Amino acid sequence: MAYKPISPTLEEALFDEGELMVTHANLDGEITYCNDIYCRVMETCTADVLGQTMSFSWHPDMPRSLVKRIMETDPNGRELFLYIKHITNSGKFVWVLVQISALLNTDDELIGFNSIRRHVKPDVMRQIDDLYRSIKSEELRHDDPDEAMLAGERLLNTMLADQGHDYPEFIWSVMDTER
Amino acid sequence: MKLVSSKKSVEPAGDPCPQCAELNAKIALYQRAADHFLKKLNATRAGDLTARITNWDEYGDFSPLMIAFNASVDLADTYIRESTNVLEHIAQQQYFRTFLEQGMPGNYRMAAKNIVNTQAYIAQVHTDRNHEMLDLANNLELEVQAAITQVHTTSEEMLEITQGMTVNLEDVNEQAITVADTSTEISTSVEACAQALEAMANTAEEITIQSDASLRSTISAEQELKKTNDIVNGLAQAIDEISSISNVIKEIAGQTNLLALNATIEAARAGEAGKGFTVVASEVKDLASQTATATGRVDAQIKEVQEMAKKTSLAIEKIGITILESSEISKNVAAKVEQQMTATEEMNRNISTAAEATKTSAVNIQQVAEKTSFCQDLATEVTGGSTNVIDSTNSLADNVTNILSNLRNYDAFNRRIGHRQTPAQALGCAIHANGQTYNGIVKNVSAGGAAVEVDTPLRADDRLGFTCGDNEEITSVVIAADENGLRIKFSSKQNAKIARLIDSITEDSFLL
Repeated sequence: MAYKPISPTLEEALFDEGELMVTHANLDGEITYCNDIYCRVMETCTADVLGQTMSFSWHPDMPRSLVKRIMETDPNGRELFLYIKHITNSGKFVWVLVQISALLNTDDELIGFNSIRRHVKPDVMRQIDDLYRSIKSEELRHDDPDEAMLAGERLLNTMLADQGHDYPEFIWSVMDTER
Repeated sequence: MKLVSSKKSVEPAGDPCPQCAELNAKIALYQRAADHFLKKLNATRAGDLTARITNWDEYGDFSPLMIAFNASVDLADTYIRESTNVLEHIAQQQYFRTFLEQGMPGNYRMAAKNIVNTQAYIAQVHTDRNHEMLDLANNLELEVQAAITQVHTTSEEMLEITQGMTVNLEDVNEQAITVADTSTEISTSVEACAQALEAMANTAEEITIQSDASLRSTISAEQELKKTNDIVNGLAQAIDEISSISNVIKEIAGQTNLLALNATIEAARAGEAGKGFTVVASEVKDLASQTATATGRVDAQIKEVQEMAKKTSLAIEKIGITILESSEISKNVAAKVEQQMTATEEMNRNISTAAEATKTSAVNIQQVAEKTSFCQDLATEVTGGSTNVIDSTNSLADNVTNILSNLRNYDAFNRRIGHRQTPAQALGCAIHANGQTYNGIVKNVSAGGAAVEVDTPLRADDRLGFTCGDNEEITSVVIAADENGLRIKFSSKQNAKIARLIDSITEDSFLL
């Protein structure tokens, strides 16, 4: 993972409600396709994106333990929803709800992952921001990156268990407040 | 955006026209773009929705076309993904996954709305069915539990009764055996009695015979006595005659004495001549005197005999009276004995009847004892049966509880366990802890727990009771407490209560 040394700004990138950012990744997690909306919002071009890992454009505020959750998701299983804060090339932030699901060829074989990113409403954004901030701060209490990831994961799991949700249900309950 | 480097374009020899070179390069780019576009379009036409023009920003004037192509396929692909995902969830009776219409334009949006409406309809049908099932389960539970309670109570009552009955039957059986024994004894006694009566009857008969004989001998004694009396009377007459003869003799002796005296006197006058005569006269005088003495003694004797005859007569009279009395007594005895015999016969008959009855009663009692014993067996069986019924109803109750809890946990309820419901209107609730009640407002509730706006001194891990509206209290524990209120978690094994609570809250706004 080669992170670009981009300094985050407090400016929000423009991403309209009716727009979709679409990317494809191969089984190694390398991006094989991104649509024009993606390039526009992220202020990049296909040449710079293709071949990158899926999480390369994550904002530094993002808890790293969520990477673990994505990696542990069964690629043949159901779709995975995740709120992600991205950072654009100029350091702007943008919140998206990413839906990751299997990319199948015409022979129904898994060849990669399809990601669709949707617009997130401001109040949901704030909720998720709070949640991620607490996970992130839990992660930051550990020096060892693996330890940090596990600690973040533990905290998220505890919070979910306390609310009687599993992760997808949690996502959908947050999405409900959106409507 | 980059343009493809023009260095690669072919520069035909002998054509130094720079415009031509540029045009040729453009044509070559267009050619490549068109080829690439056609290739990808054919792939999508063949149904490959993964086909994209990945370096779409490298085709200059053709880039907008590439973007449009990609966007079209992205849309189609997204639509298919959404509908597939929603359908997959519906197939598993999960309705929280709804169609995300964001970014779906035109016909896609209309088709998406169609799917959303259909999903809502299916969810409604499913919810209705689940409500029906829940109602059914609740009713079933109420009725079955009531029936089970009834059966249980009845069985316990029956058990108690049969146990009481068993004790009573034991008593009855014991008593019956005692009665049977007593009956046998009575029977024996009655038989003995009958024998005694028979002996008595025999004795009475003998007494009759003897009293008859006694009567007969009395009669003959009377006759003999009469004869004796007659004889005594005859004797008295004879003695009276003797007495009169003795009196005659006494008179003769007196006259003789007088004659002797006269003779003596005359003899004396006659002197010597008379002397012998005087002797005879004296002799006669002596004889006369002796006769007088003798008759005197005879008189005395006669008097004595008369006395004795009188006494005898009196005695005979007395004997006669006694005999008469004895005869009367004998007669009475005979009459009494006859009466007694009649009574004895009557008694004998009665005793026989009694003996028969006693025998019958003994047999009956034996039967009673047998039947009682049979009843005891039955009662024991019933007791066993009642115990089995109680066991069975207990296990039935458990089974019903299981079935109902399974029923309640069925699909839609699973969804509720995870899904958080936010009440449409302000929903009051009460928190009971440490003997205090705190009133609050439910912010949201899921089968796992609830968030409550309330002011309490409670802290994490405190236990509490959570009551919402008319619903039963749900035992819970505090997960988090802050100035806004509490986040509580329902303790386990309260699925039915929780399902009812959630049911009551989401009645109107159940659908997503």
